[in-house]
Amino acid sequence: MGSDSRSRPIAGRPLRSAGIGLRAAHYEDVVEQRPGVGWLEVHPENYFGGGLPRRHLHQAREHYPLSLHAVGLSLGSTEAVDAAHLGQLKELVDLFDPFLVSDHVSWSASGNAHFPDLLPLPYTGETLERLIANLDRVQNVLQRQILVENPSTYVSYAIDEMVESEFMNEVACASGCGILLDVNNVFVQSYNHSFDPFEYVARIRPDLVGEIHLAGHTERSFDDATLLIDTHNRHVGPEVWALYEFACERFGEVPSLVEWDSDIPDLGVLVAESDKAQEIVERSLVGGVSAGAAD
Amino acid sequence: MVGYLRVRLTELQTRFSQAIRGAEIAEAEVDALRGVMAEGGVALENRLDVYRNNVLVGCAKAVVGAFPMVESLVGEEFMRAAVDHYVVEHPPTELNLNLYGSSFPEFIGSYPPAAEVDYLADVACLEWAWQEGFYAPDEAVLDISEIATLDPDALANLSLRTGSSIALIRSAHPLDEIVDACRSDQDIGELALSQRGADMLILRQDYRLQMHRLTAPEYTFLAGMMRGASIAAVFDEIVDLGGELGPLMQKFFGLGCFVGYALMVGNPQQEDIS
Repeated sequence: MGSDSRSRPIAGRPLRSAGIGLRAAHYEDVVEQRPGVGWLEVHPENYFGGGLPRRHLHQAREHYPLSLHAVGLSLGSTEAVDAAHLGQLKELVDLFDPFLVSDHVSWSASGNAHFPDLLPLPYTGETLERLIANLDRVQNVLQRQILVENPSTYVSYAIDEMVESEFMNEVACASGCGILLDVNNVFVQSYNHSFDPFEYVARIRPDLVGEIHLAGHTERSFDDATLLIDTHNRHVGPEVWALYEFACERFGEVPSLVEWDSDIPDLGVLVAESDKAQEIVERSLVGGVSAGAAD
Repeated sequence: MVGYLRVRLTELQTRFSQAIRGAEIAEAEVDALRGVMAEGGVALENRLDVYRNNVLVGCAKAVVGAFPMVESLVGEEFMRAAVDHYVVEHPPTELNLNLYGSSFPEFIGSYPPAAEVDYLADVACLEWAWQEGFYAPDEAVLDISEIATLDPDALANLSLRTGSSIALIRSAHPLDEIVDACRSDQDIGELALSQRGADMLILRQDYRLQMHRLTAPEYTFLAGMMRGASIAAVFDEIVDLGGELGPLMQKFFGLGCFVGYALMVGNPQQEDIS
């Protein structure tokens, strides 16, 4: 179903590549100031039900293309995707006509236990099978292609049968979904699991990439060594900008988003980060190869 | 082969869950994951502890955010300790974190360190109703003109369906005074609270949540409608409590409390609506 969805004209597609994550703290500022960002992304779970959040989203949607970035489908669980959760996501997709819908290559539910985090999966044939089954169900119910994001992880599996970049390509090819490449997550992973982040990005098939994420991370020290934690609480780091530039040269003009989820700054700070992303995209289009331009 | 592998991912997720769901990382479960997970650099237990901490902090943040008045009554530090206990004892069973915390009022009501603050559980109930009301689905409100055309004889058989943001809390404590104190940042210990209870209504009107203290007949009427009773079934009690049906209905229609109605069939005393 991937090729069908991609060739269909999508209402509300952004004219400018770089967008920002819309958070409750910025609802009013975004609608009043209308910053020149290309599009907005929200976590749909915050708009399940009704009331003020949904009203704010309607107001923002009048001015910007929208992407729904889910965190609760738990696509990598061995159980099927929760029907009620999926039903609520479908309601939002129908109401807000987003140009992108996404979730993660991770799991957050096991039996009755639910974890508000993106837990890591082993990259095996069995995991691939589970993800594909869940993605089929989601894409059938939503009647559209979705994107899946590579996670930040703090453990890796000795039982992996392939590297993550290869796994991402496999998931996308087999299910018809696209890839949401989070370059901050690639960098965090490369530090935590000692691999070359540029090599990872180079392995991702350009035609599968539908969106790029950028965010800040934090270093956390332990007795023995340090880990990078995907905290979304600060500016995008210089190494991540470098990786983003490399990704833009490779993937062309892909919708790119700056996420900031805690210690949220003034809207202007977030918009400046998004402007920086836009400059990099434009520079790469002038000087580089736009191999992955979707349209 | 496939069956064997499938069991393995399920088992892995179960073990992972058990390793990270406590107040501290579960060493036995970590040991069971050795060999499945790669080791090197930062120790495996520390790596898994990042997840345990993320989950705990995420859950705690959701609960603290839903109960600001309880927090202001007990203080930040006390609240943090109570919520940390709650999160470990009652981890989320829902995927939507905005609806996590429904059992916190019951928990705080039986949390031994909070035993002397006897109104805390009721304040928590009020705040949970507020939280649910905030996220309740949008509904079209029933206008009083829509029942004005009904045959007057049929009105006795009428049962009004309340909106999904509506909640009633009957407390033995003066919740309205406690709420006022919290909202004005007053020290509750220095206030002489009235020796009475309070019946509170929470509802959302025009996207804004409201809280009203109800009279006994008002509470009786609305509680009756919420359980699907007909007007006839609650009429006598309202009159006994000194209430008048007309003004009651005007008030609640004015607040936009109703979203539909049903006419009860047969004996209106029998609450046979489903």
